[in-house]
Amino acid sequence: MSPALWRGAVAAAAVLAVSGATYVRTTAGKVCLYWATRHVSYLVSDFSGTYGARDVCGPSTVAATVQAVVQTSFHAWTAAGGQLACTDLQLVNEGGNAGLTSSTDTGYDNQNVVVWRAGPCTSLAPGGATDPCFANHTCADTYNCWDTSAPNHGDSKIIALTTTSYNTRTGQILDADMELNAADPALGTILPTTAGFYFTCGPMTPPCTTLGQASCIYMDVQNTVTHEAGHFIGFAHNTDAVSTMYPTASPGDTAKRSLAGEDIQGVCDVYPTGGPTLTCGTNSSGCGCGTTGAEGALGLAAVLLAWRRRRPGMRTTS
Amino acid sequence: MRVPLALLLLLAAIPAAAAVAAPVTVENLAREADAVVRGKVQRRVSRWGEDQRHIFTFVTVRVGAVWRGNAPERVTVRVPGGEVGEIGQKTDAAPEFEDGEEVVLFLVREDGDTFRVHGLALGKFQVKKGEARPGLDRFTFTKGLIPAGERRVEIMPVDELEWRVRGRP
Repeated sequence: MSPALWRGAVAAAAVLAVSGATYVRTTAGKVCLYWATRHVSYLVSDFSGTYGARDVCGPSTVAATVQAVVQTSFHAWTAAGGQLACTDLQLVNEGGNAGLTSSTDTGYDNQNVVVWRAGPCTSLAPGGATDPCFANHTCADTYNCWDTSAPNHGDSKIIALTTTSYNTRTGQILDADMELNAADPALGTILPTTAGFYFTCGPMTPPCTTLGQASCIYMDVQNTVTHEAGHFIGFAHNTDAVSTMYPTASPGDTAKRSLAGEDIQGVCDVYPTGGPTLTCGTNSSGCGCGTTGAEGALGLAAVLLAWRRRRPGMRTTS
Repeated sequence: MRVPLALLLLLAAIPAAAAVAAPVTVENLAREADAVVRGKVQRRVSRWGEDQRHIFTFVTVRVGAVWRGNAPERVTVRVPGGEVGEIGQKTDAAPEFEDGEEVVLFLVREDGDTFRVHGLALGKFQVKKGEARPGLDRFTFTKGLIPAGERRVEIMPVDELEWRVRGRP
């Protein structure tokens, strides 16, 4: 390791350590959630059908554009494109660059989907606010809408949600679906809208002022999907404002497009290249969870310092 | 070694991430809710929804006080997620409950005595030692200004939460 690289590594570890940066895993009882396979596939739902979201990534966007941005977002957590060598996790868009699924179903069905909800259910369900779908909370999947009366949507202010189904004994993730609360252009054009968000994929400036405006930024797709992809693979929110898993996102925010140190440490700890997935016991035994970025960073710094001291004549296997 | 040590000392003085402004206020949640109650969680039952793909948990809460609106002595609150046999389901931002937990809930009526929590985890405060703690610490969706005199959803004394819900004393 060159002196410059060494100094950089120690500095990075120190930043993690003293800032208290830590990744947080999603837990259920005593287990942490994780994918047992390193090849996880997903599909992106059609956003241009009868109940499709319009104006995602700007007006007249082709599927390949959205697919590419979603794919880039998932790849941030993987080795794809040379992003991270420390993990062999693969998050694969089954539909490729053009194929979109017509399914907008979420929940436990063994199909992982990224769904663009196309506006409030009260305006998209054929029966309006009195449509029968409200009685059994099936509006969202049936009409691809955001149902503020459903317990799992609950509020129009939510940008996106990920629902994860898992094995209660082991924590193994069985299904994960991402829903994005897109705006309905029929309900107005001034931003912010009162129902849903304008998702853009374009440049970082200027800020959009109207729904459907081209070449501007509002709720950045890559920013949002990269965050939700963290939930998708078993990470929860943390309290570090620079982390991809920090829970807030303002219009124009693009910081979550790139993983922070603790995000990288999380995915590399849990899904290490060539190594076993970091699980947390079972719900009938003790929990092994508890890895923290701060402790890990301090440990890394200590190892690097020790290695530096003993470097002359030392051989390492790491 | 001078550079890393100096860097460590410098960085040690940097505070941790600060709190984040929230556009959702207690008063706003209260205005939009059908009822706001303080009570204790008695039991939870999870089952599959009608589509057989989503799990919901029905939480029974014994109501000690109704701060706003109307609610019976016992309310059933439907929340997304839960565990049925070997299958569990979680929706991020959804409120979670524990048996015996003391809570303040902002509720929207679904039908009869069944309610849902308004604003997902924002509409559930855990009460402990006189403090009311919302379901997700520091959870906000977008930044923005809040109306003068109102307070965003965050940790606060339960007495303050009550008078903000009921209206100023």
